Amino acid sequence: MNTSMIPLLILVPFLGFLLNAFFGRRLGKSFVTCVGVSAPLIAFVMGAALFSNLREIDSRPVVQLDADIQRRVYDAYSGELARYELVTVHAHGHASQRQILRVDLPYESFVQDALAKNLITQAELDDAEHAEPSERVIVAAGEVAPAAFTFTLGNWFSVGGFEVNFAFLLDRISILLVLVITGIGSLIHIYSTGYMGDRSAGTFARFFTYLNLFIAAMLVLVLGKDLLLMFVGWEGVGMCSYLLIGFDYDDKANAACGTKAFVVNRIGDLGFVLGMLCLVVLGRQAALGELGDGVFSLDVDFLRTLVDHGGSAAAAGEHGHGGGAAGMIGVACLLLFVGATGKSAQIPLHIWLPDAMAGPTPVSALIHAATMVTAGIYMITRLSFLFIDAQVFGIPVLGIVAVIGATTAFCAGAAALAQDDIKRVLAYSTVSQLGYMFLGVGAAAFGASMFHLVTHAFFKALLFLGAGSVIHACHSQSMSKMGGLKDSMPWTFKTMFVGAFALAGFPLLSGFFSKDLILFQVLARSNVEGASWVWALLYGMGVFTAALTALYSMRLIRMTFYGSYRGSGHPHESPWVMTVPLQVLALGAVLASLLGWPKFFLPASLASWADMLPHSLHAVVAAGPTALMDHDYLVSLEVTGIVIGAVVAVGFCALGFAWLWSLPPSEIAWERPVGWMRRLRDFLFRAWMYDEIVNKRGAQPAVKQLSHWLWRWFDDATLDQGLVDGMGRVGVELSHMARATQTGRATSYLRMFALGAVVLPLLAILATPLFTLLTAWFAGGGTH
Amino acid sequence: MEALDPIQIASKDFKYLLPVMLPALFGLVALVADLFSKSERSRLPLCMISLSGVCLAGFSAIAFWSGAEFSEHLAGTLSTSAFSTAAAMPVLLATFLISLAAAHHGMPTDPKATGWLPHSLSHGEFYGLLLFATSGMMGLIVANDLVTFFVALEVMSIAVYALTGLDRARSRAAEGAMKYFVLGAFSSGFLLYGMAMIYGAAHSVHFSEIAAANMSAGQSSLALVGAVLFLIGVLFKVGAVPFHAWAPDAYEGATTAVTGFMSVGVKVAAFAGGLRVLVALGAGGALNPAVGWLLWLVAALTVILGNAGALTQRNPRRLLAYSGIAHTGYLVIGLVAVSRVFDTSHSGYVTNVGASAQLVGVGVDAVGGVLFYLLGYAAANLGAIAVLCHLERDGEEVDDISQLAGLAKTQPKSAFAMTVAMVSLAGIPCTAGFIGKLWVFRAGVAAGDVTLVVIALLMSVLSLFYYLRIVVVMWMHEPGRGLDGEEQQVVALDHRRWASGLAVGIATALTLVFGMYPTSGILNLIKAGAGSVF
Repeated sequence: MNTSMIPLLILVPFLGFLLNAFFGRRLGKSFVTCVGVSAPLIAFVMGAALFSNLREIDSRPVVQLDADIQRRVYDAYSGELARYELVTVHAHGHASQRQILRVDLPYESFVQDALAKNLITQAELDDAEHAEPSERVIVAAGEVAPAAFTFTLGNWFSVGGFEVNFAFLLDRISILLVLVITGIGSLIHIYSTGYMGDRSAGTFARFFTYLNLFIAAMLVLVLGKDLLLMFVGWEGVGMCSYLLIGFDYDDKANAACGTKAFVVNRIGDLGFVLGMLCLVVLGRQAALGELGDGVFSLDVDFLRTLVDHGGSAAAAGEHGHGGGAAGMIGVACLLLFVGATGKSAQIPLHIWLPDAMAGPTPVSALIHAATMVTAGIYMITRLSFLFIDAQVFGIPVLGIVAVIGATTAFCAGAAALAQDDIKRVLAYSTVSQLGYMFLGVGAAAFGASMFHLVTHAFFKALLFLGAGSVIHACHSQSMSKMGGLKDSMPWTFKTMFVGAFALAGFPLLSGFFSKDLILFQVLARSNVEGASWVWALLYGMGVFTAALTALYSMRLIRMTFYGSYRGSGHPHESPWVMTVPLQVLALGAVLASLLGWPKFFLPASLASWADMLPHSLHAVVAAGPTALMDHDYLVSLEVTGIVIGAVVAVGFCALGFAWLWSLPPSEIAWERPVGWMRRLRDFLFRAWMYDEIVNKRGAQPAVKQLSHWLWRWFDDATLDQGLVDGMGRVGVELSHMARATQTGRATSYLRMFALGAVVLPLLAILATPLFTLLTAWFAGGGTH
Repeated sequence: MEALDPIQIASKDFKYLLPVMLPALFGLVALVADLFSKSERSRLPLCMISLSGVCLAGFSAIAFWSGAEFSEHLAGTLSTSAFSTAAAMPVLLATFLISLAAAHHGMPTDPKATGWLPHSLSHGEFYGLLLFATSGMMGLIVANDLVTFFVALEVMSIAVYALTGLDRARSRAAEGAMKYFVLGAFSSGFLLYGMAMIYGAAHSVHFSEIAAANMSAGQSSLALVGAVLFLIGVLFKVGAVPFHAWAPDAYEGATTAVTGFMSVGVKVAAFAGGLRVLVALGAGGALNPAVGWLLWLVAALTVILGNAGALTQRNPRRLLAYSGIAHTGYLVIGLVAVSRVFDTSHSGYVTNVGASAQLVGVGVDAVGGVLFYLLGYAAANLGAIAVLCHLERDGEEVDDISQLAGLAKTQPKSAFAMTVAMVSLAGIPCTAGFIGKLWVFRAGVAAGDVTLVVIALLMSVLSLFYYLRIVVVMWMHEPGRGLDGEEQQVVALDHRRWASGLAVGIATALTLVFGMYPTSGILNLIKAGAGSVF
């Protein structure tokens, strides 16, 4: 496998960006379409090739050595390099503990060494190649990590031991995202050629320029092995998001929405930067201390050794929680999570996402539903080894993540129920679903969260694109101006119908399995020692939010497609370039569930399909406390969770049906607000008044006051008038003095010469003791 | 002191003298050729003679001088190494570019006009004096005893005095030349007195013997006073405060091309020669910590006064005079660092470490920095001067930077070249000036003179104002509008001036190349040169 395909993967959309940026306007729409669509498609094909390579390597048999050979190996390495260990093994959907012999050597060199030392014969090696892939962790050479490709393009910079490389990592986590980004990205690109088709050539080219750049930046984010490189992508997608939200910048409101997203994201990014800074400080300490080689970085591998080191240091120092390196890691994780709340629109930085809907709908689908907003979840999953034991003042950071996630899921789900704008319903729904993902991440169910990320990408992109199709037809985003589109837009209706039910978690559709896997993990977490009531509460919130999800999904379908048409004009079905992506995505929204059917749902013959995606990630993410729970008990919990989920979903879908279908919208109290319900709906419509109260009354005046004060006293008085003008004034004064000495008379020059020749040496002789004194004084002041 | 032996000189040793003598020889050729030139329009041959002399001197310097160690020749009067070559490069660059830039000086703008303007620089005497001065500079660089040093210094100085006053019709030229001459004679007295004392202390005029003498025992005050007086003489030549007063008047009085030549050539030669004597004195134990502090004070005063003086100047030559003083100040930081090498009491970073090898390392770094700085300064300063020469016509000179207003619109190439020169003089990255400054300042910090470097840094921030003001005037003002919005005569380009245009191009290219990609040839030469000094 040529790993240089990894940077090529990023280069292809970047090339598309360049071509469209420089030639798009001139060469016209067909050129832009060609380049713009083929860039993510080619990237997708490359991603798929890389994926099959990864799988191929992963499915190679790995030897399992019998006890006799193990003993020989153990003796040969005399306990230094070899030791017996209890490890948790995930196989076929359940975790168990096994004793393995771990040899601290890379597998290949171990095999060579063992063959050379006659610890094992070639025949034995060949015979032993029978272990199943899922059990490959128990081999004599210790844990064999699943296949991962790394590629280092070169050094970016290195300063004082701090090294940053252009290093890329393609492992099971990133390939998943790569496939989602390029796959769903391609579909959305195709859809956009139809959606943006009526724009001028320049605008069309600009749109695809940004879109291709976004794909490239997102791939940098996902593939970056170094946290700083990841941050490059992180900022890149932020910039593209800003450019695309305000794409129609002629309308001031759109530009303002873009600015809002940008500013709110900056707050989160500050957290990210500070988090990185903490890790740099920590890395430097470690590199100068126990790690010893003086070289440190933000590379994922280095961070992993750092965590091991920090853990051992905390254990040795017995500082307990929050002390030393471990405490620093906790703070770093919390700050990184602040970054994640910004990018993934979680409380308290969620306010930008609903406004981001000002952008064209394909943008909402790609950036603000399927890919960019999940970057926070991806980042925490990537750094799961860092987050798993991180604590701040004794509170686990992941606990904070879960609480924030569940709260966001609930609040946004309720807000979605009261929106009139179809895109805002979906926006709040996205915030809510992202909350689910954070809840899952918080429960250390990284696999489940990534599963939900994938399924959500399918059905939410589908819903957004469907909404786009509807908006395209009705020229309005208000659901009160829609209705009855089911006959005029059959494909849009059918596909969105599937999407809405997947979102609602209707049994057997993709959203059902992924969401319930998260909820089951939270339920399991509440059965582990420590703060179990919190987890039980979070589970309750999750289930309640699931009910809300079912309700608002049904409401969306009802308001849009049923009843009679309330808008103007005659809506028509969209062209095939728009409906075909919808159909593909609808298929995906159904079939994505196959990535994670629970084991008890499947016959024994299909057991290897069970929980495919979540379990494939178990080897690359940190294991939470539920991994060691009794397997049978876990299964019983899972069944319980699934049943509860199914009942809630079906029940509330039916309730929504019954409630909303019974009457035309104008006669439903919720839609035609009167009395107390009007207040409640208004409150939820304004998303719990958060923007009005916290943002407009709290944060903004405070920031304004602070910035005014800083401008007045720091910038204006100190910098401008003090430093800049002051230095200028001093310079001009000096200049006048200098010119005054230049009398133009040779005699005065001679006098100056002679005076200098006498005075300067005298001064210099006096200077020695004087400067020595001063230096000693400064040195004394510096050290004491 | 031993009895004088009859001087023995191997004839093959004369090749080491070639880079010194060739310019003088070609100077004579130029003088003679001028007698035979019939047509008023035939000045270009003189330029060609000058250029050939410079090129041949350059080739012979590269061929014969570039040893890794100093070797003595001609009965010990000369010693050469890569240091000599490295120092000769900016000198020859100055002569080369000024020869080109002045080639069309005095050529009338009107293509129909016959005959050249009176008092133009393209007479044979200009090229003769230019080449004689160059010869003196080259001699100063390779001088290996105090007598040769003084002779070379005077050869250089007298030619430059004459060049300053060459434009006899202008009273300011005469005034500047007179002041320069009087003050120069005064400083030569200091220099000679210092030399006498050094001779008294070391019992020799040869640098190698001065370096080998143990002057710190017994005779220290004699040697010390001698060193200080000698340094004052050198500091006068480079225009360091308070011995700088001649510079603004002489620079302004001289014709632009001459201003450029003396601002670079004299400075390079005096710094190179001064460095060698300083190292010899230091090795001989003549330097006391006070010498370091003397240089420290001079450096501080020079950067402050040079930059402050330039701040409110509007005459470009006067501005460049003050800026030249400021650059002398930055360069003196290198001398401070070199003098610290011999100062064991100095509590810099280095002495804290305590390894003498590192002390020498700082010295080598400082010398390398000075050499590179001189080269970068030569390229940038000559670039600016060449642009001015390129713009001047009919004997009129650019006397106010307002005259450059809108140059970017009327003559974008000249404006670009001027911008590069200004940016390099200000020490902004991607130009030679930045690397030179970085190099010298680094040596200053390594030698422990952080305060001095901070002063220099602050002052170079200040310098941005007057350098960038020219850039602003050229690029952001309308043609014909001065700094205060007043009407200004627009400088127009005479398209026949290819020679000065070539000079502009070469200087700009060198400034950028040295700044962005200093070729390993130049860097190796400078490093080898710096290494051979200690």
